[in-house]
Amino acid sequence: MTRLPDLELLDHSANRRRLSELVGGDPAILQTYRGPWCPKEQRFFRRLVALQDELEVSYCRLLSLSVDPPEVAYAYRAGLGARWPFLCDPDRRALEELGLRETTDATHDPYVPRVYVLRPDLTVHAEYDGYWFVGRPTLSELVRDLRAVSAELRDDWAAPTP
Amino acid sequence: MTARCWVARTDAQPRGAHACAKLAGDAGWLAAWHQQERPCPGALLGDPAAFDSGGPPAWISLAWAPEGFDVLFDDPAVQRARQLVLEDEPPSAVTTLSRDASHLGGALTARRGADAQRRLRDDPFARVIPAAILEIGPGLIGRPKPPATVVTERYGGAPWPAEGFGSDR
Repeated sequence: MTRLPDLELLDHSANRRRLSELVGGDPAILQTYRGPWCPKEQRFFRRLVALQDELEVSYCRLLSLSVDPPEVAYAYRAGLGARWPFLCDPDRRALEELGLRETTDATHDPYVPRVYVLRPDLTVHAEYDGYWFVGRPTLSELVRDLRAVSAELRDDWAAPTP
Repeated sequence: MTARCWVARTDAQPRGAHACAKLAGDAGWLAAWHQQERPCPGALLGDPAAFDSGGPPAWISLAWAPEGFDVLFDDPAVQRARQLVLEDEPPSAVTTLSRDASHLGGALTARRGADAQRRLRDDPFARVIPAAILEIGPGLIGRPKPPATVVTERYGGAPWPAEGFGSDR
């Protein structure tokens, strides 16, 4: 079972955050993305912005990670109307640690697009390779994954009845 | 059971508070108590992470519902206020203030820095409950980390944005 390292990065407001702190005790989605300039990312973020209205009542979390510095991530997040943390890796240290450098783009040197569904201990429940757009998870697939992790995690998953 | 965090506004410096600070002018004091029992009439429940007896001065937007002003915590307007807090640049500290398990009693949003007072004019909670922008001295407002999550629900009985089941107060 793969476990992600407990990365320490700046967020979009230049606060230093740890991945374990941001995941907390909840199921979480971690998305790595190329950058705001990529049309596939623009399309996929619209999917995630639609999902956030459900995540906010699901006790599930969402994080996005790129090589953009905080000021770029802040502006992009604001433009999207996103309400989740954006993590910033301009030094590309986490990118190297995760082995997610997209070798075909020498201009932007970005992350390969990936989506991980994580358990609270940062072990990976599901992983999607978004290099091709249709490799990215649909909202239904993400909800299915979050449901599975939540069912493992929540002692009271079955509704209490008399 | 973990002690609760009660918040109250008093005319004079309160006794027995975990943390307290003077509001500028004749606005009195704001204080926080870590205990199970309500320390005084009118005290509301807040997120203890927002309060620190070693906290520096700040500007605050203090939304405090008058007696008889009942707003459900889950009212869509209150939900939207929580969403707006998460969309914006994180404040220095923020907490909802609960009257009971169902009703919002108010909210406290703190900012520091050159444009703190101006930024507080956009306090989303002030759209729901009348708020005053006040300068507060040292001794109360902490420096918690910003909310880590997109979740706007409360975790059990804990005031928002306290995170994690088991942080029930």
